[in-house]
Amino acid sequence: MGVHADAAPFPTGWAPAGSRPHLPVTDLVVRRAQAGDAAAFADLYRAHAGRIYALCLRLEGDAARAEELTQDVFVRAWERLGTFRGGSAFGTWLHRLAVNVVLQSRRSLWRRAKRLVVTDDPSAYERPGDPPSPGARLDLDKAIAGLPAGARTVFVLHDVEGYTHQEIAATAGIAEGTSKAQLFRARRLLREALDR
Amino acid sequence: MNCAEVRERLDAFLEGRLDAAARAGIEEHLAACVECRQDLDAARFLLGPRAALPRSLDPPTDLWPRIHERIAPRRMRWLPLAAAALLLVATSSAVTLLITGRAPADETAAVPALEQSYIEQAAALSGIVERERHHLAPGTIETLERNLRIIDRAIADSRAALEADPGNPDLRMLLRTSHEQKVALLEQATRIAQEI
Amino acid sequence: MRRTACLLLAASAVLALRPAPLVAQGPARRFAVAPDASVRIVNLVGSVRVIGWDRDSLVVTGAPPEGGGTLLAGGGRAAVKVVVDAGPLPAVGTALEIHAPRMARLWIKSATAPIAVEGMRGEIDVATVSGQISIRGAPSLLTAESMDGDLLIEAPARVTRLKTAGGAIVVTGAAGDVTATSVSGPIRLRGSVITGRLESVSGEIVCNAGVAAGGRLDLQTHEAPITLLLPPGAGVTVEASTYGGRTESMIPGAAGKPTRAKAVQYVIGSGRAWAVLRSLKGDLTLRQALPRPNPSP
Repeated sequence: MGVHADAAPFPTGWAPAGSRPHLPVTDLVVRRAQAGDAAAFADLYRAHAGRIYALCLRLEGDAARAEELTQDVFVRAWERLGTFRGGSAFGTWLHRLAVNVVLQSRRSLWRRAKRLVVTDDPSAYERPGDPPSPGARLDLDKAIAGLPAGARTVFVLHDVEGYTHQEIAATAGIAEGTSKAQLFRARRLLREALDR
Repeated sequence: MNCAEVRERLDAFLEGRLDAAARAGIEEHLAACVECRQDLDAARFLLGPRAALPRSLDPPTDLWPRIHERIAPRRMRWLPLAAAALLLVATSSAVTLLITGRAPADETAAVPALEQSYIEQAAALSGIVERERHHLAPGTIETLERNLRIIDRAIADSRAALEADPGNPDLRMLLRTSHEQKVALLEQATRIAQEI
Repeated sequence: MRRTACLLLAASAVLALRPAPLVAQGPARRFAVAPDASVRIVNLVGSVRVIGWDRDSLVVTGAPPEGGGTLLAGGGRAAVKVVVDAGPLPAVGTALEIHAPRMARLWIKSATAPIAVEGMRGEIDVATVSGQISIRGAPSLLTAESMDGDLLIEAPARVTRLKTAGGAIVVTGAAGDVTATSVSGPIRLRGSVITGRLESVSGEIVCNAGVAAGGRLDLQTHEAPITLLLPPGAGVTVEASTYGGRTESMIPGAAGKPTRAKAVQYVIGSGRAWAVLRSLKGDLTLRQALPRPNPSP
């Protein structure tokens, strides 16, 4: 799915969030969850929560909203588990579902009517006890949160999550041309924000 | 090459995936076009920070308990449609009316918790109706779907209003009633499908 | 507005005349039954008419459906079943007419067949999908449910439970405890109740009722207007809250007092009964009803 490599190695002494021992998520766990085993679903949650939360946080720029949406994603995943046929990896399926949940939540009339306030809360990106994070990585997440919604959505989906413009257009209900324009706009804005 | 064509190929250009001829065409355009040079600079600048973004971020709190409560609530709140017992208590200066058995007194529950058991019930009943659909006349299905749409709209409206004014007891009541109506309608459809 | 007016006219017309569009034919079958026998009737297509009488016997009139199918009637003193099994649902079903002891407990199910019951005083439980239900009499307990069919009730039961999705509910001569819910159908109630709960999503509610002292009316819609008419001399405290609609009182002498958030309270007369009107988007209106020729006690 993604064009870019996984996260580069980090300085010793601290590790990024989400690098705790990886729980093995096998077909068996998924199948048990599909059969209604909540404990198996808990394993799936533990294995994927970080990815989904990161996605929601970057798309929304607001930690409280991201937590709510993460819950919504897993609840919907539980409801839709029966439709997962195992053709792709579970993580991919869950990821697509998450993008849909986030974008759908924006379409509700009420959300459109409310002003979207982007939180400028750096603690969303740090864990307590971490040494101050070096330069560009933390700043990029903050800068993404400062983007206007349309540009942010496209940047996160394309440049962070590796969706194609065609996929973004289909999911977000925008034209491919719009997606491309938003991407270039987002990159310019991010460059300006980071290059101070 | 024009700007649009250059933009199409920009990412591939940066990643060294273009053949010599295409590369030359882009370089020639870039020499003359400030806009596209800026796009290229922005894209190049972001390559590093993007690669360093963690794919996963821990949610600040453990969301599993809340998710678990939503997918497998400890108490299913089944509500009778008709008012149940009625108590009349006369006091010295006024007549007080207590209506019992009408709704759980969990007025302080957060909106998602308030709704979740209803959503569960409705989902379970919908499943049955779907399975037994062939027992229903097309006119009945049409009536059912039409009225479900009306109720779903009411649920969405009530939820949105309650999100904007969370303490409002009238809105809580309206939201709860909408959910009850959905469950009652689905129960009715289930009965019809199973008994005819 | 117009629809409920037409419906009320239709209701009076229907209730005044024989409601069955078909005339029951065929041999009459007679059963000796206890006065409070349980009578279970299933006729999906055609019509069902039940008439209460003072004899301890049940008489069933109806011909088996055309094109095959059976009409089965049987049972004992305590319980009788009348079941029309029409095979694949025919276009024209059986017209069933049943005379039953007044205190018998009735249970009737149909799909498109209209159901009419008169003169019964026991428990009545009626369900259709799209057939119209009309009940006249004074049952002790009345439960009626349809998906699309209208419910036309002129029956002061002690407890009444009415439910429809898209049909209209029209209750005249209400009494006791009444619950009526619909999704998109209008609800109209006239009478004098101890408690009344009328709920609809998008159907208009018009309630012209006296409420017993200490009693309570709950009228609730999502987006349809609610009109409450109170008889002169009524003593009701009304709480009206609409989130997006308007609240208006045309009752002289009752000033509205804002209470919580979007609620307005009116104290009318002694204020000893409660009425709660609630809607998300519907307008709430209080009016004074015209004096009735024969006011209920």
